[in-house]
Amino acid sequence: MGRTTNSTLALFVGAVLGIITALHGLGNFGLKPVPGASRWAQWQVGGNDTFQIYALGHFLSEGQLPPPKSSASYLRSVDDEGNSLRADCIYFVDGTLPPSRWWSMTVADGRGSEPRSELTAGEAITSQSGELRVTISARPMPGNWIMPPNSSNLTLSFVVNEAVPGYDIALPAIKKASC
Amino acid sequence: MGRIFWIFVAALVGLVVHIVYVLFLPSYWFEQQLGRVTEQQTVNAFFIAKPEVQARLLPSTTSQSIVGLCIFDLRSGPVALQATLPRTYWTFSVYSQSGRQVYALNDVQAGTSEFKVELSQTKTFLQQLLGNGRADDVNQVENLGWHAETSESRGIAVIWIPIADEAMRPQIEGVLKHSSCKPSQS
Repeated sequence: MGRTTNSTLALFVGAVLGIITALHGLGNFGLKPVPGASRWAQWQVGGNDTFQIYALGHFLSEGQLPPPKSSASYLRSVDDEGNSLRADCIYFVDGTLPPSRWWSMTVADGRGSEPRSELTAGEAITSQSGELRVTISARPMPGNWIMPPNSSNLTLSFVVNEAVPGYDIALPAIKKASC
Repeated sequence: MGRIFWIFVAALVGLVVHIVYVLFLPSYWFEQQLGRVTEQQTVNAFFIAKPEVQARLLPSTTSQSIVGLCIFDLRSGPVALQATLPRTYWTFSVYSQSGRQVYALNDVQAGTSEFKVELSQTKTFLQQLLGNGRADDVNQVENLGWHAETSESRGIAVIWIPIADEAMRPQIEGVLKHSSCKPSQS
């Protein structure tokens, strides 16, 4: 009787632990900070990263295809001071044009669900020197403007497609202007 | 001693459950959700994804793009994808059922706006040893542009075209819809 109870308990505890660690792994293990830009993170879907299987599993379990190897997909959910991105604040996203064939910037709620707002290489206004400023604001703003979905926990995605080999991509800074 | 044994058993069960969960369940869930979002589309057929399907399947793309899809099943033999594309930036990717990108091509690499890719399943070691299955690819891929192999029998091919100007969408879709995806004649 005691042996049966022990084996049942061991199986149950083991199964629960296995599921909990798997869920945690799929949600976190494949997401790594970008070297030199610690506020930005990237899912390790390419190459031979040890945690690639978790990153792939993360996308598949959400019913999504992972980003192709020809694109680099970066994301962050905090501003430069480490505070969560909120829809009731105004943010300036400042950087330079990535040396690539295409890029896009998307703001979604923390879960990444619709609706989301976006800006792409096809519609962005840049300075002659290649500098880029994007304003994230619930109210219309001059220049490049992204209206965020109404959420207190936003995620900004920056996708660079077909980056020119040999050039580093300088990821933009996010400064809070006001709330 | 007995307690340590059962802790070890629990850890072992946890490890097995963890591995099975991470390796197999995401692919299963993906197939279920793919079936739901593309419910009216047949396998081994090319179609232009509706915006909601695109947003669901490819979160790294924006609405300012066009996505063509072919959900393929190689269990009945190879599948040929004939792509007709505009003279602009595009990418072509083939993903296996487990989410691995097994083939990639873009407009510069292709050097043409029309190409044909034959998708087939990698022969197993036993098939190679026994000489079963299809004859050598050298004889089979005659008149075909490229050939991609995947170790898994099912997957999805994706053509992605970003559009700089929304006014160009009807024209680009008009070109892309001449693409096809069907079982190979060979």
